[in-house]
Amino acid sequence: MTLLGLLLYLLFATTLFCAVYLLFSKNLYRISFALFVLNVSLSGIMLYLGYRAISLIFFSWSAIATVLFLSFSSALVGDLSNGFQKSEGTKKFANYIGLFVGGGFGFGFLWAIKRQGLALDRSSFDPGIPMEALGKQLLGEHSIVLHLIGFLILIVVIGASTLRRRIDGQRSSNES
Amino acid sequence: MSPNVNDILVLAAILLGLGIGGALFRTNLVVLFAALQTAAAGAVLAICAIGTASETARNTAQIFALIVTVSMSMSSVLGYIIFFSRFRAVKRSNINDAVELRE
Repeated sequence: MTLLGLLLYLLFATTLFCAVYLLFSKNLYRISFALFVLNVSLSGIMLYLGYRAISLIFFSWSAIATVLFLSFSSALVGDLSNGFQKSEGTKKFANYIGLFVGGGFGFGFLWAIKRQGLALDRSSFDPGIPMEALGKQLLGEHSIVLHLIGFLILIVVIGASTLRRRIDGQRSSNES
Repeated sequence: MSPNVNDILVLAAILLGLGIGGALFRTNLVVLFAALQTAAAGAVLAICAIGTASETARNTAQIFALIVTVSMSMSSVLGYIIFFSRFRAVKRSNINDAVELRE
């Protein structure tokens, strides 16, 4: 078995474990991190299959979804920072660490730009992905899907406004 | 020996099943959204695997995977917004309590 095959089986195992954990766990914070690991493992599998753009989009979405999940989990079960930041000194220490890490990332990013530039010419993109053909198919042959999504969003917006009006009507009738 | 497309399809089917099971049997709305995302992730993985198996369907698979991913994220964000506005009003996150959504 090659190292890549072994890594892929490891990604399979983490994906399955996180999916099962997500189904049975009661701790919302742990569920958030399990979802993140699941999505990252899936991004790795997609990368193996050669879907680089989809993998990157999936990874970005998993990061955003984890932040959303943590926000809602903290709204449901209490502040996450309560468990870690006990005193003022600890809070200040955490702030300095955050500042240091953020500053390090910013410095590294600026240093990388200075060293090699943004390099946003055509050759910097991967020539293996047929972007032109994909764009033509997306806005040509498969444009019906985009219309369908727009129609579904319209239905959702109308449904939400109807529901809101009904709830407001019920509230006003209850108050009177 | 490395995993082939059939293995990835089996994994995608398991993920889809687990996601649907979670969506049916869990009552917390946050966990329900997580389960739905798992199911959608399984669908995206299946689309990618099918695109790998058939060279002619590769571009189409990329487009469909992109559309499913984007619509999944959009619907999740919309769901979170609806859930959070409801949670702020009633202070409950159990879907069985959301009787106003059944009327």
